[in-house]
This record gives sequence, structure tokens and C-alpha cells, in this order.
Amino acid sequence: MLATMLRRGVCEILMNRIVLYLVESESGPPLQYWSFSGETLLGIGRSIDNEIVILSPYVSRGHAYLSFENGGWSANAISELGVLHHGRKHTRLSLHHGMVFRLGPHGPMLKFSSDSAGDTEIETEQPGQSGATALTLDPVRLRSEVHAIAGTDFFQRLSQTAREIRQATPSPSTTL
Amino acid sequence: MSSKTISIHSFRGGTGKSSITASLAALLALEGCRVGVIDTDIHSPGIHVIFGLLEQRVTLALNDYLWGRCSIKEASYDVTDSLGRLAAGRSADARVFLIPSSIKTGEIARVLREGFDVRLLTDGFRQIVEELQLDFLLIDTHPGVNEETLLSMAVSDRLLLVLRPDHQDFQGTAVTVELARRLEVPDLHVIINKVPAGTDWERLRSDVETAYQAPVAAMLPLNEEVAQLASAGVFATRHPGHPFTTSLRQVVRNIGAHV
Repeated sequence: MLATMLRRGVCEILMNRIVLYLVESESGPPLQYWSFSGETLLGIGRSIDNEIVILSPYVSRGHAYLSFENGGWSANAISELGVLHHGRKHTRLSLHHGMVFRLGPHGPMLKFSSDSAGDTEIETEQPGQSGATALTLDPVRLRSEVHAIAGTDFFQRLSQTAREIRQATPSPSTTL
Repeated sequence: MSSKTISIHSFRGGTGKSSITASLAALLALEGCRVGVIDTDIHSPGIHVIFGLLEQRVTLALNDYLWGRCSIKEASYDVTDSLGRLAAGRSADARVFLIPSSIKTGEIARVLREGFDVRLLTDGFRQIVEELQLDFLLIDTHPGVNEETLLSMAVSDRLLLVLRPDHQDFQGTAVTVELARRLEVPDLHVIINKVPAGTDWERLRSDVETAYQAPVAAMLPLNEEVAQLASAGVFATRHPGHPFTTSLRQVVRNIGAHV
């Protein structure tokens, strides 16, 4: 890595900022992203020692790596599942701004974006930092919504009806 | 084998509920079961498309039964052929029957305008199970929490709640879970569909199970193949080896184990 850096000069590398977007489809919205600058080698895979960690059962532990060489980025498959572009499997795929590729035949899709094209819209992140959030419940809203429905006469009548139906036609699992 | 009624519900539309229902029906049939699928999504019917049931073939629908125009059996259609050769090769007993909702706008409007006797609907569930000698009846419900949906859940042996891992589905499904508990739904399971790659699957499972205090029966990937097939066929029989199908097969095994 160091040899390449010295060859090309640090400035050029610092300018070299890329963002990887996890996308639902070729044109779909990004679900998660990773941004990097000054890197020339980025691992993609399920195991946590990759720069781009994708916890999907369709992704290998070390699935592929992105590398910057001779002024251009490429995706290189490590896994036999390969890297797919337009349905074709590649072991090495040259990447251009806006290109979408897929990790294996059933795996997730990633959209490549390079800063040189000038339209990466996300602010600088720590290398490898992910943009996804966890699911959380709003317990206050939950209580009030449940109360708004369950507290009505309608719901009380419905519960009563359900009880009557169950008693009239006991389910087979309870009569065994 | 005793019969079993399973409601499949989601809080919002677009969760893939009907696709999952159709695939579950197919997988149960492949085990040699007689399966009925009833489309109680009267406001926006759709599952008939997945089973390739043509409009012209539907002379009588669930609506006609609810208006007293026919028996529920007369509104049922054998759609086993839609499963293709896979089903034919397995067992002579394997059958899938569909009771569709009417897609005629006049009929849909009438339901919205006049409503119907929900007791008639639940009577229909019992009748169709008996008359077609079903091992399983799958109820494809209307999203949201209206009267017939809540009642369908309440009279089922099992409720499968389908949600996507997003905030709106997560919060809305929590309400449904609470209501189902109050209605004494005996057996409640969750299916998480359209899980994007990059998700921490185990964390998502534990988040959902902790929040709902209910087991996650399956987690299905957000998948291009599933989206591409859309409603043009039963996914599980078109792609028997696909991870989506493999996960649903576990749900079927789980359902079977409780019979």
C-alpha cells in the first residue's frame, strides 16, 4: 500500500473519496452507506475485519475487495459467489461513478459513487461508519393507540363475539 | 390430522403478506395437505392474481357468499394447477383451494357502503374447512385493524404478523400485537419480510422478539427475485431452492409440528 501511495503522491489519494451505498434496486433509495477518503484497499464481507461489513447470509466472510490502482477503482471477487454486474459474474469489475454491482447471485446490491464526479451528497463519515439505525418503539404512543381502540364499545363487543364464536366452535387443537 | 386456521396479517400494505400466504399454501400442499386460502381483503383483493385465477373463471366470490347468494363452497376454486408440476409429482392429496374476493368495483363499493355480518364470515371459515375437508385454512386479511380482520384473528388457531423492518411497521405492528393479546389469540408469530442486506439479523430478531414478546417465525431477505416475480406466480414453487422459500419451509414445518 505504501509503495502505491508514494508513487501517486499523497494529495491525489486524499482527494480520492468514495461512497458505497447499499441499495434495494438499481434505482432504489440507499438503505445504508459507507464513505472513505484516502483509502486504496477496502474489504467487503460478513466478517468484522472488513472495512465494509455486510451482515447478510448471502455474503461470504471475505467476499470481495475494492482497490484503487492506475487511477481507477475496481471490485475484485474473493468469494466464488463473485461480483455481478447486469447479471454477469465477474472476478474483476472496473467501477465507474453510479455503477451498481451485486455481491453474489442472491446478495445485496451496492452502488459505487466517486467524488471526482462531484455529486456525493453525504457528509464525511468515519471510515466504515454505517448510516443505518435500529428499530425503537414509542411506548407512550403505543399505549394511547391501543387504548383508543381497545377502550371502545366496538372493541368490547368484538371481544365478546370472538369469545362466543370460539365457544360455539371450539378449535380442533383444543378439543384433542 | 385436525384442521388449523391461520390468519396472515400486516399492519400496512406492501409487506408481501399475500405473496407469503400463497407460498405458505403451496408449501403446505407440497407436504400433501389440503389447503384453503380465503381472501378477506375485500377492499383490495389481490391474491387471486398470484394463483393465476382468471377473472372470467370467477363466477362467484366471497362477496356472493356474504350476500347470501351462494354457499362458500360454491365460491371456492381449485388452484392446485398453479403450483405446476412440483405439486402434481408429490401427492394426490395435495390441493389448494382459493376463495377469492370479488374484483368487481360495484361489489367492493357495496361492502364499503353496507358492510356485512362478520359472523357470517367466521361461519364461512368453519363451513369451508368441513366441506372441502381442509387440513389448513389460510386467511389473507385486510391490512389495518377493522372489524372482520380482528375477528378473523380472534377465531384463528394461529396469527402470523408480517412486517418490514421499518419504524412505521414496527410501531403499527406493536398495536396489532396488543390488540391480538386482548382478543386472546392463542398463538402469535411474527414474520419479518424484506430485510435489507447489511442488517444485523440476530439483533433485529431480538429487537422484535423483545418488543412484542412473540417469536419470530421467519426472516425473509429483501430480494430482487421476489420483487421481479411480483404477483406473477407462487414464488415458492417457481424457486423451490431460493433462500426465501427455505425460510418459509421452516414456518411450514413449525405449523405442522403444532397440528
